[in-house]
Amino acid sequence: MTTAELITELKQKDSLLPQAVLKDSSLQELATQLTEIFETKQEELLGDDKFRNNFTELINYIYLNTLTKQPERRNKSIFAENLISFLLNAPHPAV
Amino acid sequence: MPYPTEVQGWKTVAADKWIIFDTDAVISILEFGQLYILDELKELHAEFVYINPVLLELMNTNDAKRKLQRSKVLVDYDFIELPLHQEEIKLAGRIQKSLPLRCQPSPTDLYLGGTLARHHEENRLLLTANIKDFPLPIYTRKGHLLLQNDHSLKTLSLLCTDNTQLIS
Repeated sequence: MTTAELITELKQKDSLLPQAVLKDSSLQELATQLTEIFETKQEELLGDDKFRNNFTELINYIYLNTLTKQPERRNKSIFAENLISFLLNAPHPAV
Repeated sequence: MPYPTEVQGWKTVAADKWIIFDTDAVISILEFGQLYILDELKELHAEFVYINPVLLELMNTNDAKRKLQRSKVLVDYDFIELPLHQEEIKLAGRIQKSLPLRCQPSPTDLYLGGTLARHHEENRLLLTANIKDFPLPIYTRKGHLLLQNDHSLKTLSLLCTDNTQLIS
C-alpha cells in the first residue's frame, strides 16, 4: 500500500495500518500529510474517538522512529506544535 | 548512613552528569506536570539517557495520548538510548545475586542497575522514584529532588552503585 492509499484510508477513518507498511514511507512525508489531515479534519478528530486514537498512535509511531536517530539529526519540529497540543489536550477515550 | 538532609543538593550532584532515567521517573515528572526539572537539568549540562526496556515500559499503555506525551518528551529533551551489552547483563546478574532475598526488582530495574554499575567510574547517575528496588548498600543515594502538586508529593532519587558490594 502506498502512502497516498494510507492517507486515503486514514481519511476514511479506518484502523491503523500495520507498521511494516509505514516503514516504506519517509517520516517527513507522513508527518506532512498527517499535518494536512489535521488542518482539514479537526472536527472529526474531536468527534470520533477511534479516529483520534489511531491518528495519535500514528504520530507516536513517527516520534518513536525519530528517537532512533542521533539528537543532532532529529527533526523536532516534524509536526506543527498546534497539532500536538490539540492531541494532548483533546479528551481521549479510555481504552 | 547519612541522614537525607545531609545529602548534597540535586543540582550540585546532577551537574555535567549523564542521568539514566527509570520509567517511573519520566512518568512521575509528566504526571506532576513538572517538566521544568528537565529544563533545569539541561541548563546544568546534564545528558539524558535510557535503556530499551525503559522505552518498552513507557510505551506499555493502551492510552495513545500518554504514549505520545512520553515519546514527545524523549524527543524534545534529546534522550539517547544506551545499548545493553554482555557486560551490563553480567553486572545485572551480579546485582541480582547480591540483593537481599526479600528484594526482587523487575528485570528492567536489574538492567538499569547493570547499566549503572557498568558506568560507575564515569560518574553516571540513575534517577528513579522507586527506591525500594535499589537498596543500600549496593546503591548509594547521591541526591533527592521533590515533585509536588496541590495534593501530593513524590521523591525522585539520584543513585550510583558501589561495585565493591557486588558478589562476583
